[in-house]
Amino acid sequence: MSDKGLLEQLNRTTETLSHSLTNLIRYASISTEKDDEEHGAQELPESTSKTSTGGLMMVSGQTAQLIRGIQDLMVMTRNIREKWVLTQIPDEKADSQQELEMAKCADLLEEWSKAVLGKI
Amino acid sequence: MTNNPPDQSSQAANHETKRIPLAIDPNFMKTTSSALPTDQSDDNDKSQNGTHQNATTGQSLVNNPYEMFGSMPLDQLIPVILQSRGIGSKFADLSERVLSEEIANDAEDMEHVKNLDEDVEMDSSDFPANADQEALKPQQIEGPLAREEEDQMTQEQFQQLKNSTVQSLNLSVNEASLALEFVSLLLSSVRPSAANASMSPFLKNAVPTASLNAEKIPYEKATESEIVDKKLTTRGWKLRSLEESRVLLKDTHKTLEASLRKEQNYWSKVSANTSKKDVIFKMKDQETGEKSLGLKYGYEDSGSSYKQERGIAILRYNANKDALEAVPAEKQQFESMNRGPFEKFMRVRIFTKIQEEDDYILSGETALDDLLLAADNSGAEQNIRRQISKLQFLIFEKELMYHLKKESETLISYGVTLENENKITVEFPTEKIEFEMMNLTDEVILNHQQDAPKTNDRKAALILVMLRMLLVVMYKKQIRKKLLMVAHSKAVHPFDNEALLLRPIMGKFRHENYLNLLQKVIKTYVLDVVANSVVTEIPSDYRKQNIPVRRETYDKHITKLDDEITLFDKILQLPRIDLKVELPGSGKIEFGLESSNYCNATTSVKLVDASNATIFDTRFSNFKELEDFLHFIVSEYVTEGKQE
Repeated sequence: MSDKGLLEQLNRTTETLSHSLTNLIRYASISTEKDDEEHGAQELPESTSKTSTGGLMMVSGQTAQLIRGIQDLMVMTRNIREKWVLTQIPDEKADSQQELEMAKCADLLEEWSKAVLGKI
Repeated sequence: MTNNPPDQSSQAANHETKRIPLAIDPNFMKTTSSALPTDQSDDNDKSQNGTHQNATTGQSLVNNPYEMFGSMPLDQLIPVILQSRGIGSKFADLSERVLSEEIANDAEDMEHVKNLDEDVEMDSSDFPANADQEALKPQQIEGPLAREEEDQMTQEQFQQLKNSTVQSLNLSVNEASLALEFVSLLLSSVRPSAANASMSPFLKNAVPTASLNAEKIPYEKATESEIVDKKLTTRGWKLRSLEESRVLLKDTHKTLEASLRKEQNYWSKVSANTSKKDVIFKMKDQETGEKSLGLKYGYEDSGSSYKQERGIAILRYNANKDALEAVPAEKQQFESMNRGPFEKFMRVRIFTKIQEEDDYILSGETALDDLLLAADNSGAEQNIRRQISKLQFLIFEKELMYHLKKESETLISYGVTLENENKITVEFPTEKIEFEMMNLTDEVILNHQQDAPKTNDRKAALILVMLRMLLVVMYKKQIRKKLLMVAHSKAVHPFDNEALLLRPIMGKFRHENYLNLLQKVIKTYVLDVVANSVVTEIPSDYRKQNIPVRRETYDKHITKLDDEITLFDKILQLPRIDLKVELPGSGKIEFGLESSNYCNATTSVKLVDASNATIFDTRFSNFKELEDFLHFIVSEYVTEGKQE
């Protein structure tokens, strides 16, 4: 995924997160409920079944959305890490491979032959 | 709304119309009102003259003579006009002038009507009727125009007003009839007859009577306690759902935090332990099904052509040890296929032949590589780099064995035997070298650690190291081949594409043996026979010839690669040695011992006499023949010549 795509996804996810959190909080508040009653169905509380099912559904729905949002964010971090590791792993101590000393190696090889053949 | 049928009395009808100065075209009324089916049907019941349905409905709204007459065909209209003008009048007498006079009279008449009320009616029976007949048309055409001017109203505004009025009327009629229907239906359950009378036939057909009922229910205002109760329940539910949400969030938080920590550890370890040199890619862990990272530890990118194993490990995080683990992707599959343990290493053993006995004694053995030792003493097992190195080591060993086996297939005639798939034995006159793949088990490791040092340990180790180095040289050649285009890679060396592991090493030993043999032969047949003869080794310029011309156009990496490969020419070159035997007074004999495939041996013999003329120059691949030949030339040319 491109950087732009990731950014867009980030925006989208945070938006849904804040949205569902706001919804939850609004639902949890009692004072707004009073406001509603003043100019709505006055003194008439909603029916029990409506509040129970509606509330449960709404709360669980919003909670699920919250969780999904967080999970999405985590998947995103994972994606970013994968992007990183597959593209730019930090360079480790320059080139650690030392230069071969040709002459010395040649001597060593010569020595090998002698040693193996039991001339030493 | 008047419902007088015009047939009852044209007079009366005329009078009615006279009282309503029409400002609007009743035709609009007609069309709009006809849209109401209930009205229509109602009127239909009552009106007797039904020549034209539209006409009757129009009449039901307003008594509209023009509409009635206007829609009449001319042959009906003219008699009506004549009739209304009175008996004896002729249609031909009607002229514009007469009519305008009549209109003028009519205007006066109107005033009369206002003043004298109904009296004017008595005056004449035909005139007023006549007048209103004629007055209708002018009023319709000119009247509105006149008013328009008076009211300063434009035609469009007027039209708009008219339309809206018509619409409102239409709507109200519609609503009223609907209301009537509703009430009728409601009533039909208690008073069917009354309801039936006012119900439209459409409704009667569509809805059964007495199907609508109404009842008055008294509204009971909820008591305080009830309201409080309900509120309590509502809040209780609210609390409960919020509590559930809380628990859910908390649980998820816990699991997510755990996985986040794991992830964090994993990645920090990956970043700490991997470098640019590692080949890392996304991969799915077949065992756990998780997304993971794969690490390539095989040497494919380094020039290896080993395809038996892919050499891929999965970087897995072990939460218990808080460490990364490199698990070979194929390990499980490999072991499940009963192909023996996954981890194997090569061991080289040297056996020395016991003199006068047909038996061997173990005289040298390679030690275990440090990597293979269980590193529990230092805790280095935790280190992922060490694990990777170990994996690399193991796959390298397996590849080495793979190539060795392939190579030894061609060397059977030179004392190489493939004892089983994990063991190769090479026999020499005095010793035997065993190359064996050992399973990496604790027992093996333990045995090795307890072994006492032996005389040939160093030799065995050197041989193994050289084997590995030669495999690396093979890799390098492969890379060089890839780097240089196909056009450039005309085989510099005949063995460029072949495995060259065992042969160079074997060649060294065999060459040494041949050399000893040759020297023995020379000693017996030349040195011992010819007095004062000396054997000297001619320093060979063979190596110099073989060094390829440095091509400056190459990339520096290729040059480096070239250098590294030529370094091993000394090992890889075909063995060759030149000996010279100086024969005092009668020239010299030159011997050349070389091999065309590392393992065989050919000896060239060149006899040069004192005058520097070559007498013999031949080759032998058999030492017996060489002996005979030497015996011959020495006795024939050297000793004979001396005796002479």
